[in-house]
Amino acid sequence: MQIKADVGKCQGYGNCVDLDPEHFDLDDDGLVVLLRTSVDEAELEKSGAAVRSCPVQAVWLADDDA
Amino acid sequence: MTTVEEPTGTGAPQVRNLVDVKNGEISREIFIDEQIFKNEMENLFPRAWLFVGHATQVPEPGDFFSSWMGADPVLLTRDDKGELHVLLNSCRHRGMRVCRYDEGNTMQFTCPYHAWSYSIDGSLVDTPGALHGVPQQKAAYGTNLEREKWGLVRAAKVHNYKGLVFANWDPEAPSFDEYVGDFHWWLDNLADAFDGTEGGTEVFRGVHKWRIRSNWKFVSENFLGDTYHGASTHASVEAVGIGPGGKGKRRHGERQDQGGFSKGRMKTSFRRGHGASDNLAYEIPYPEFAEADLDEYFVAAWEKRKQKLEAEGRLLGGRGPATLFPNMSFAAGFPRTILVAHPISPTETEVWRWYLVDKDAPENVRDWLRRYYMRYAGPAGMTEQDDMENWDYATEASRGVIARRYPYNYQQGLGQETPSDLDGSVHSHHAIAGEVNARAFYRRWAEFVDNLSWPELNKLAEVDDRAMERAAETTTDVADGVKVLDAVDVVDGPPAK
Repeated sequence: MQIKADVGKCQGYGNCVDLDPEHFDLDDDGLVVLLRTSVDEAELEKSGAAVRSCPVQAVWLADDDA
Repeated sequence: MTTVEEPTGTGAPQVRNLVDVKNGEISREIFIDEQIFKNEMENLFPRAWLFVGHATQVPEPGDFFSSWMGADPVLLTRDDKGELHVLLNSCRHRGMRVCRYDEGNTMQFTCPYHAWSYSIDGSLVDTPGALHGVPQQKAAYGTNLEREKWGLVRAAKVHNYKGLVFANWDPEAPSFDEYVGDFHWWLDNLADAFDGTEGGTEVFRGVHKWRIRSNWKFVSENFLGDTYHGASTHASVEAVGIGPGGKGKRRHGERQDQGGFSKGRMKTSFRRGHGASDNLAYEIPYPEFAEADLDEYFVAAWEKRKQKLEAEGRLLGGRGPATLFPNMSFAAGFPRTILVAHPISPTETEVWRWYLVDKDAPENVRDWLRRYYMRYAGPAGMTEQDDMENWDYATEASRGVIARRYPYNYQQGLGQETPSDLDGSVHSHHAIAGEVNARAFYRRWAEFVDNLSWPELNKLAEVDDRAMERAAETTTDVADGVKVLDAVDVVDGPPAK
């Protein structure tokens, strides 16, 4: 799976960073940056929780070929 | 006016001095005074059990319905475990309503102002309604924001009674069952299906909401036992014939030949302030309909209910109209609808009407009821229009400088209450006359508004002094060989359950 982000939607809640700091961080403006976009099977639960926690749906998971 | 003991409350004006139950006189001030209204908002509504909405309005996880509890907007929500919650609809940051829709489904409420976000269905946070995120969290608060402390404010107690959802802000308040007492028989008839199936009702989609220039208490009082106004106020409605039988028949659909079933009607008044226009022994069958298919449905329903309830040792009456103290009024028959009088100001009330229907009702029954409800009640309903006219003008008339010097008369049946088998209650002396229900309502109202403590409020409600006085008098009279209280033998059946 791949993590996708729409920085235009991000408001810097930071919930994703709390839940999955290996994939998510905030930049100097407080907006989301992806440290790594690929999510392997073992990471799916953690990354899934992180994207679901976004109040404005600025991050989501997509299939590799999407 | 009655002398009262010093209130234990806030030192606000003692409204008990304005409600003279003993002599049946009530000051007009209680319908227009700003300070009294403020005390109602502070001392009554945050401590009373209030009707919030119906469980069938929020059937799925994430469903919500916007409602009011006194001065405060609330959200009735359902979480992913099926539990109901009642949350204050106000952001903890700057107070903006986090939800401005009447109803819907969502995982979260995000405040439109600064976008603080609260999780609702329980899938994102452990506690539904908890703060789930704030924008720019790191820059704004670093690690110092204790999210668990800044969730939406929640009602201390929520109770789902057969689909009727009530809430109370006060953790010290008595349980719902204690607060309601034997008045629950009326709520049962409201919530159960016409054939007696427990909780077998749902509400029609949509709630009628409108504002009237009336004090909210005139509304509560009207439904809790004012059968006296019917013949005059609703004369034109009766002439038109809006009821089940059509022209020439009653608006509630009472049969002229009731088969000798009913033992006569008496109103029922509870010490805790609730009141009903009838009693459990007033067992009138469902109406005679002009349409054969409707007759078929309701005759079958009545037979089934009769068998079920009689097997349980229950009486079949108790359809109201009635009011659960302080502001939830309803009728559990024809029509079957709930009215909440939301106080806006001393002279303005927002009225909300829910309409109930059997979950299993076929389309022809639903359709007939929908049309009947609309021509009967709601802002355009004919019976409601009659009532609103009275309430508005009574409120306006309470304002007059000279008028305010003269109290209202609540003396009907003063000292003539009759005993009841139900806990903490008495009956009126007459089916139509008799203002015992209103007197009890205003007495309880004053005790709350004067901010008596819960121990004091509970103690006062423990024993119905009216019933004791009547019982004492009856005994004396019988001993003297003169039975003054002509025994209206009202039987109310076993309060088993």
